Amino acid sequence: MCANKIVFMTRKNAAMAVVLASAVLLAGCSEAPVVPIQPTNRRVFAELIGETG
Amino acid sequence: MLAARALDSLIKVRYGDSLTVVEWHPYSFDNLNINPDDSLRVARYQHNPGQPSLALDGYLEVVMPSDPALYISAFDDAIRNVKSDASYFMLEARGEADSATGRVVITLAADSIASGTAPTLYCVVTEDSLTDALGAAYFRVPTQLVPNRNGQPVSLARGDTLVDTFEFSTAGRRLDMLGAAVFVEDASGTAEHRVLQSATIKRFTMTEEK
Repeated sequence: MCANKIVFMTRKNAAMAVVLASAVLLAGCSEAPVVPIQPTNRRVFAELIGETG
Repeated sequence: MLAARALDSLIKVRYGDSLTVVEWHPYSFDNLNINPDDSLRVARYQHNPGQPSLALDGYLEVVMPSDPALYISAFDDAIRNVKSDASYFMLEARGEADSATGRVVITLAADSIASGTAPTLYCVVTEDSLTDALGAAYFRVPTQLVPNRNGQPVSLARGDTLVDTFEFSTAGRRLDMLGAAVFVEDASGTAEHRVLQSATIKRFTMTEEK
């Protein structure tokens, strides 16, 4: 009886740990990541045409 | 003017040398006209005279927002999108000039060249602080294509490094306002004139006349 209770508590703790880890993960992702300039060596050639005044 | 200022801002705060900019002014009411040198490039893009149009890497025309306040964000999104494609070309350029001759020294190399690619080098000599009939100042205005408006086809195998020098006359030019944009374009039929890599010369180094 007692041994069964210990097994039951271990599974419960494991489930709680999973929930806790998920919450921590979600909290860490709540802010949108900053999108950096793509780290390629391409320089972009921009041609502006015909703007006057 | 507002579109030009939006590009100025993006160069300053975000892209620096990784954005090469020229501003074509091809129309008859605009005294910065350099026809016919600009005709081959300008004719490739859809635009209405007097309205700004922005083309990136020779093939992507940015949809211009109706509200100029949105130019910066629209340009930024489009530039970032184009920039996300890697380039296999390395291109560096430097310029020197005296009162008779300007020289653009170009170094071009490629890690990889797709079959059928026809690399063609272009150099656009630009001038800053040119004013139009209304007194507005413009920067990075193309005033000459060297060696010519058709560009120069280059034969380049993987791993090759090409060093070439383009010369042009500087007689009557404001040497302290000269710059240049150099770019290599794929001139093959299916490439839509895509620009593969580009570089900016902000100012020419002054040299003694030889």
